[in-house]
Amino acid sequence: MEIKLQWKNKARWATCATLMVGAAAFSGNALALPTFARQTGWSCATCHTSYPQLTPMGRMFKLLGYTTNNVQRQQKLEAKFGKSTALLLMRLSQFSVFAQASYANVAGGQEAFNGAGVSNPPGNQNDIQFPQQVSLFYAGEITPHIGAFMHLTYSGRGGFAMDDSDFRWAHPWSFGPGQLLITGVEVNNTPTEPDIYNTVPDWYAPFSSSKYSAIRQIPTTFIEGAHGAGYPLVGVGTYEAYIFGPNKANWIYFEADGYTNADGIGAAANSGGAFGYGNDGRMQGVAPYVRLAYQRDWGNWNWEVGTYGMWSHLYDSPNTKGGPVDSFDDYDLDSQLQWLDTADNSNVTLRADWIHEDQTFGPGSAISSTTTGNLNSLNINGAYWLHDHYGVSGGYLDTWGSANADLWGTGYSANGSPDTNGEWIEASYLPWWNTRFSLRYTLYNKFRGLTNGAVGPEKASAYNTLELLTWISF
Amino acid sequence: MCPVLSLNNLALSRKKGVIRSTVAALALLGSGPALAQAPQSVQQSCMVCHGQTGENTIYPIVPRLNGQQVQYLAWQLQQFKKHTRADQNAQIYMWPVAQALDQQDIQALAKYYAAQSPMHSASSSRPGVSAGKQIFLQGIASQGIPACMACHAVNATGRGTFPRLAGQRYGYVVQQLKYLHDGSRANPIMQPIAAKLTIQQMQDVAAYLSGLH
Repeated sequence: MEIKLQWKNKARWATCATLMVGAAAFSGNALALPTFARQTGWSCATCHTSYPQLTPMGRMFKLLGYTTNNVQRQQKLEAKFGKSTALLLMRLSQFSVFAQASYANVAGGQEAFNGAGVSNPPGNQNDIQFPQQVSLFYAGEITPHIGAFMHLTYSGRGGFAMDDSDFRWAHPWSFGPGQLLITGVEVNNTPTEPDIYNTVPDWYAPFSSSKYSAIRQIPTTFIEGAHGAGYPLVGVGTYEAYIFGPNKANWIYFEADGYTNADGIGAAANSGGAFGYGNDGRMQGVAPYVRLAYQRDWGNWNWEVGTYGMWSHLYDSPNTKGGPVDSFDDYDLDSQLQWLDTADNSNVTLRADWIHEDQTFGPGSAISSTTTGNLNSLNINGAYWLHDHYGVSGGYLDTWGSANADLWGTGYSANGSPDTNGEWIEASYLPWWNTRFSLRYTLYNKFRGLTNGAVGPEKASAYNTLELLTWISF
Repeated sequence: MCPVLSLNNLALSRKKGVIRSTVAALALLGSGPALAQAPQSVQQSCMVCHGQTGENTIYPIVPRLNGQQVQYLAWQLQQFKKHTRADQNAQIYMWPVAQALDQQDIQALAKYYAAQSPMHSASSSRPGVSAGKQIFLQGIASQGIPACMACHAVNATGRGTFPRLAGQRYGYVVQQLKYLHDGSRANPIMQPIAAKLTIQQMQDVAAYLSGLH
């Protein structure tokens, strides 16, 4: 669910960037939804090591369309038509609330982002967010095969917007004792949202950050930025999970979606109102997304390796259907290793993902003077949880690619370079499993091309960030 | 409600003259012909951890249910529902499940899983099998531990309310013996026996049982 900001400098992209900051604030983290706990009677820790990191049981719950439940018969409304059941509807109202607050301290102050040409500095000596975001969910079974994860988020001045959400229809098919096929059809608004692994952009670590953190200012690939509220898309797709072998030893996960604008193109089509978040969903045609992953389970361990691709064509102008078209082709390799002591609620998860993006800018592009470019994002991290109360996590972030002063800007950057790398470490404490306090420090060796050897105030270390993050759900 | 589709049952349909491909096509359309008579709870809840037939469980601490003694299954579900089986994992995972089941559901689930082809080992043999076999068949006289087979049957298939243990998951057997050892799982017969077992002896007997077919 972590979203970072890209494309900030060009005036034409100012709105887009603002909205993506908004998207970043909306994104935060997710799951361990109390509504799921109410529906199943199972604690957060059965499906998560610590939200939003899923366990195999959580993956199965998601694959089955959030429909697993342990409610009594009388807690469902059965509408009969003759002898057949026309509708079997949950009587429970499945609402949950997430609230987050944060404090961020950037070493160089928020002024460090006020470089020349930056049109939307993230804040002006403002580093507290209360609330960082408040999310309202309606999530769980609607009817026995249809479930929803509907996520609406308020983030202060960003207002309300749809955050990453999906509706899905799932069905299990048995092919004998050792084989299970789960098929699903879903509608979602964020690429990678339907996924079951925490190595994809919508669900990868670090899971939450203040919008005043420097991590929000690292250039991102298109798929990392194409998030819910910040980039109104609609995706329709299907997923299949084939689980076979003794003790669910082998999982193959396949997903295919097509994404296009959720709300038309152009300022008039989707501006204004509490839910009108501008005009930056401007796909030309449909962007296909294809995902394939394999998971191997043995004993208390499970290991995943996967890949995906997404091919997006965008109108260069945010408001106009027509004109130059830019292409962003994203390719990923990712892997996750997890050890679970299920009887003790202690666990380790190691994650890695690498995204490579090829960029092509149409003739006459106003956002890039070069015709091609590329961007890479490497995210390696891990977490250890003791009894799901005490956690230590950390990781290495690396972004590198073509310098592009038009696209990435020259403010707080060395000649439009996106190159950034650094390390982060985080300590967390959950007094209860719905309440989390985290303290994170992120140290940059390089930030948008700036190094620590640079002369003057613009150096990578000015963006080192200390964050205090709090979270409660109910 | 669309029941879980089983190709075993599809084969039965063919015997009855129903064209298999037609049935499959109907199933794919989501019409869910009543081919497999799994209780609703299996798909609604049980299969997440135990699998549809009870054989493929998601974690080592989750027991296989296929071919288990029907009386034992029903009795345990009653215990979960009444909270008289109160070990940690019972409370976390099974109490919420059992509270949603009525007596009819409990009987249907017990019959369904008991009727599946019996559980069997899915992993290579572990060390301690021969020591475990000795404990199971002969007990440990010096510790006052009787032979397990006296109640669970010589081939560990169980009988009545004594559970089948042959082919059960190693991690589950060890975990339950620990619960019985520390008293968190109450059972007047097993508790005093498990209290005398060492961790090594629990692992040995679990190694033997999990390897049985």
